[in-house]
Amino acid sequence: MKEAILWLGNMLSNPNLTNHVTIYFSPYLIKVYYTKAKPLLEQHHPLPPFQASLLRVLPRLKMFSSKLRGFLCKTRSSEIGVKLHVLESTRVQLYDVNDVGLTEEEDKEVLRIALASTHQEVFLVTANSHFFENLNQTKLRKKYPNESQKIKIVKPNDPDFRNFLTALTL
Amino acid sequence: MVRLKVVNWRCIEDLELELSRINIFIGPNSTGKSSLAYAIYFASKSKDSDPRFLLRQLYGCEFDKVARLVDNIPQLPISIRIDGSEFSVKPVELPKEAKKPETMEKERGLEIVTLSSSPWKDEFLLPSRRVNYIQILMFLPKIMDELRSKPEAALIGILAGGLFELFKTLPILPPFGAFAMDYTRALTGLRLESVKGGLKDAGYYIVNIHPFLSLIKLAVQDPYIKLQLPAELAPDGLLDFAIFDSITQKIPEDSLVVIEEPEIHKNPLMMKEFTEHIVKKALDKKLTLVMTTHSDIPPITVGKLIAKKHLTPEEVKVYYFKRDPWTKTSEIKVYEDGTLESLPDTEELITHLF
Repeated sequence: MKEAILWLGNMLSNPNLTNHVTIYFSPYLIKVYYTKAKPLLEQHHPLPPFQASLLRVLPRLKMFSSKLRGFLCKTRSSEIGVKLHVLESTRVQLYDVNDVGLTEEEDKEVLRIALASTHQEVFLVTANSHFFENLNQTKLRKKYPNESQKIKIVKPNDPDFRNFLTALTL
Repeated sequence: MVRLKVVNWRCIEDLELELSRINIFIGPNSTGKSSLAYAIYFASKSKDSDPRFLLRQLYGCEFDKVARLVDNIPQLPISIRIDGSEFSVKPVELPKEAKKPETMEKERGLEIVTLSSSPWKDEFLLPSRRVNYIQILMFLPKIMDELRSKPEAALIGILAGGLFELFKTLPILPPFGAFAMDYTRALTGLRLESVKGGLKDAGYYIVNIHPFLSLIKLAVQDPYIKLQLPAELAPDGLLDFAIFDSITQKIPEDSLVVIEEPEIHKNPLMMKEFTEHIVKKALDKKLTLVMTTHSDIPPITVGKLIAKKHLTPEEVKVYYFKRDPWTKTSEIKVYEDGTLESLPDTEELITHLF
């Protein structure tokens, strides 16, 4: 799994991905990254380019997403290839996922972001077992048929997902 | 709310905007932030002092260099309109018989009309090099003290007077002159610009002015170790707090304070503290504050003060400056929850850093 995360970090920094991949955030998720993921990422060196970039911009990302309204709801290109999009909190909160089996607030937020994202094909890439064991996909599909149809929940080492990303970089 | 219209001033072609109590001009270098801030200061101040003298103190040049230049030709008239009252510089056409093609340009006079009224009682300028200037002002009396104890004191006193007179009349390190005059006036109430005379009067002048300058003993309270530091030992960032405090202590209410780059010499946390400090002081003294900055921290800090109900969004105006090829501004809205509409270059930073 660690290797798969490393591979993904390298792959997402490929400049050929420009215009193909957008990473979605929400102000709440950025806060979670800032308080929980950042201290963990800081213990690792060297980090893959994607994670290193994320770590570098997290403080400003957190500040802008809470202080500058114009920063939200706009897709921004980055110099490493992928695009960034911070969704507005109210847009994310439109989706109620309290009854689909997930218990952690962070997991619910990730699912809400996936539902709120506007792309036709959405990969929810996670190494978190909650999404595979606890999430009631049938209930989710029943509740949000259109939005859930486009979401594919995959592990970083999922072969289909890896092939899909590799094909984009060619 | 003060309405402002500036035409043909430096890189400003035609600009119209509104000023509120706290005004922040943000943008990259050379986009006209300081030009506009100086224009407001200059126009308002020129109502009770000689505009040419003031301009030399500010820019070290005449009106033909301050007017907007197109192909090196100054564009006239210059006009700065503040709330219906106008400062203008127009060319005066000479009578036809006096016209001689080769000398016309040199002989062409300028008609200067100053403001009839200004919304501010007094104006103070804190330029971006204020810390360096204050060091000059601090060390000058010390040097003179040393010199006065020597037998040739009388002569040296006159020389030192001459030196100060030079600071006053010549455009040395503009806008040092404007700052020195404002600073002395804020501390002592004395108008240096009204003291006139040559080198002969300078000795008398310096004898009078020197005790005042000796009184300028800045002490800096270090917020972290609670220690009083003499100004010459204080770090530049802390010294800036002391400069602002000493200037705003005695100035009249409803004055205009133009502060360039409040973030200078400071780390991000200190920038935030300084911005809060000057905004709160401005509210206490009912000052109109004009800040020019490159940093996103001052507007975001002001946003935070709005969220904490120290300020209302109506009391704050944030303008983003860019040049294309002349200065263009766009207002950045500030909301009641303390958020701002957008800051184009700081958002772009994320793109480049990621």
